[in-house]
Amino acid sequence: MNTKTLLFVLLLSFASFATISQSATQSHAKIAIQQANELWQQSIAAGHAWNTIQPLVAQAKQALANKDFETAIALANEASAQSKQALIQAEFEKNNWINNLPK
Amino acid sequence: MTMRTRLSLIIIACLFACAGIVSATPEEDKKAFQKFYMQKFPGIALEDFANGVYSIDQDAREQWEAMNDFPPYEDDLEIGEELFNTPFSNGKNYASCFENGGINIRQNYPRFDTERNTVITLELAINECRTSNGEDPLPYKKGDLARISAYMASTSEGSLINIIIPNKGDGLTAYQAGKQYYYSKRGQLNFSCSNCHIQNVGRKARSETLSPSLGHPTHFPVYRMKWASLGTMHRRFDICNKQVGAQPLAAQSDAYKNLEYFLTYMSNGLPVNGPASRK
Amino acid sequence: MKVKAKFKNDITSVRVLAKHPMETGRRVNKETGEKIPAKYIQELTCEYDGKVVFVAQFGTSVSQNPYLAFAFEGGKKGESIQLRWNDNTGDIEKTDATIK
Repeated sequence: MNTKTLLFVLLLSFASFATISQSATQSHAKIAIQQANELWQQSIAAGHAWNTIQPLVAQAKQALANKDFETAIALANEASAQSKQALIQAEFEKNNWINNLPK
Repeated sequence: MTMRTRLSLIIIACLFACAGIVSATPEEDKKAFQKFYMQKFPGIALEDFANGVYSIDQDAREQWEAMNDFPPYEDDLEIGEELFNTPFSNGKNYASCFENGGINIRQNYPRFDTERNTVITLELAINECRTSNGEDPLPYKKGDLARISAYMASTSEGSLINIIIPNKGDGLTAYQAGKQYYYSKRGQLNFSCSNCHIQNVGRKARSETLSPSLGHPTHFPVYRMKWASLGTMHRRFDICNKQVGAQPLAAQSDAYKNLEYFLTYMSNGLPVNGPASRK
Repeated sequence: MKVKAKFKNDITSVRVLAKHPMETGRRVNKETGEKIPAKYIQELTCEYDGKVVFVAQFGTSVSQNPYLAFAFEGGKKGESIQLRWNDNTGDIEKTDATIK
C-alpha cells in the first residue's frame, strides 16, 4: 500500500484505540460504582453502615457524571473498602459484643 | 482427681459461666448495670443519676443549676401543653388514646405491645394517636412532637421508671436486640455505646465529660443547648452514631426502639425528670 | 428579658435571661448560601435608683439567649431595677423587675 493509505490506516487505528481506552475507563468507573453500591447496601443490611460511605458513593457518581473517571474509580474503591471494613466489623461484633459488658 | 476429671470439671464450670453471661435475665443485667455505676461513683444516690453528667461533675452542675433559673425549655413546654390539650378535627384528643388520659404515664414507656409484637415508644404512640384520628403524623426527633412528649414527660415528674418485659411475645428478644446494639462497636471509629458510657464514663472526650448511661432515658425529651431546641432520644442516637462514624437510622426504626427499650429498662427505679436541659 | 432579683446582706443579686439570637454575621444560611446578617447585643445595663449599677459590653462572642448573673451593693426589697439592652441593629429592650 502507499504512504497515504498507510498514514490513514495508522491514524484510524490511533483514533479507535483512543476511543476504546476512554470507554474502558468509563465502564470501569460504572462497574466500580456498582460494586461500591452493592457492598454499601450489604453493610446497611448488616446494621453496621458507616456514615462516610454514602458521601463517597455520591461523590463517585458525581465524578462519573463529570467524566472524571479516575476520580470516580478512586472514590468508588474507597467506598468499597470501607464497606468491607464495616462488614468485617459486623461479623466480629456478632460474637464479641459480649466482651463489652460491665465487669 | 485425675487431670482428665479436673479438665472436664473446668470445662463444665466454664459452660455454666458462659451460659450465665448469655442468658442473664434483664433483671440481673439491670442489677449489674446499676451496681457498676454505684461502685464507680460512690456517694451518688441512685436517683441522682437522673441528672446525668451533672451528678458526677460538680463544676458543670453549678453552671447547669444557674442556667436552670430560667429553664430554656419553658416556652416549648407551654406549647406542648397547649398542643396536647387541643382536640383533633374529629373532636377527640390525645387523652383518649392513652391510659389515665395521658397524664403521669411517661415512666411506662417504651412498652412492648404483645399483640403487634413490637416496642411502642411514647413518640410512636403520640403519632399513632394522631393518624388513628385522621391527623397527619408529626415529624419525629424534634419540633411539635418533642414538645408534646415533653409535656407528657413533665406530668410524670418524680414517678419511677417502670419498664416491663412481658412473658408472652418477643419482648425479651427486642430487649436482647437493644442490649446487643448497645454493646456492639460500630462506625468508622469502632466505638460501642458502652466504650464511652461505661468503660470511659467520667473521662473526657475532647472537652466534654462522658456521662453514665444510667439515668440517660429519664430526662428526655432533652433541651440541648447545642440544638437550642428540644430533641427526642432518637435524635440523640443519631448524633451518637454520627460521632462514631456510623450511619444514623430513621426515627422509630426497630434498632432504635429496641435500644430505647433496653436503655430505659436499665434505668428502672430512677425518677422521671424530663424535659431537662443539657449541653 | 426574664429577671430575678434578690436582696440579702446589703447585696442585691440579679439573674437575667435575655432573649436574643446573637448572630455573629459569619454564619451561612445553608439553603441560600448567604451570610446571616449580624445581630447581637452591644450593651446591657442595669439601673437602680436612677444610677447605673451594672454595665456589660457584649459582642459576637456571646452566644444565643445570654444568661447573666451579677450583684451590686445596696438595693431594697420592693424597689425596682431597670434593665436595658441595645443591639447593633438599633433594637432596644427594657424590662423592670422588683427586688425580692
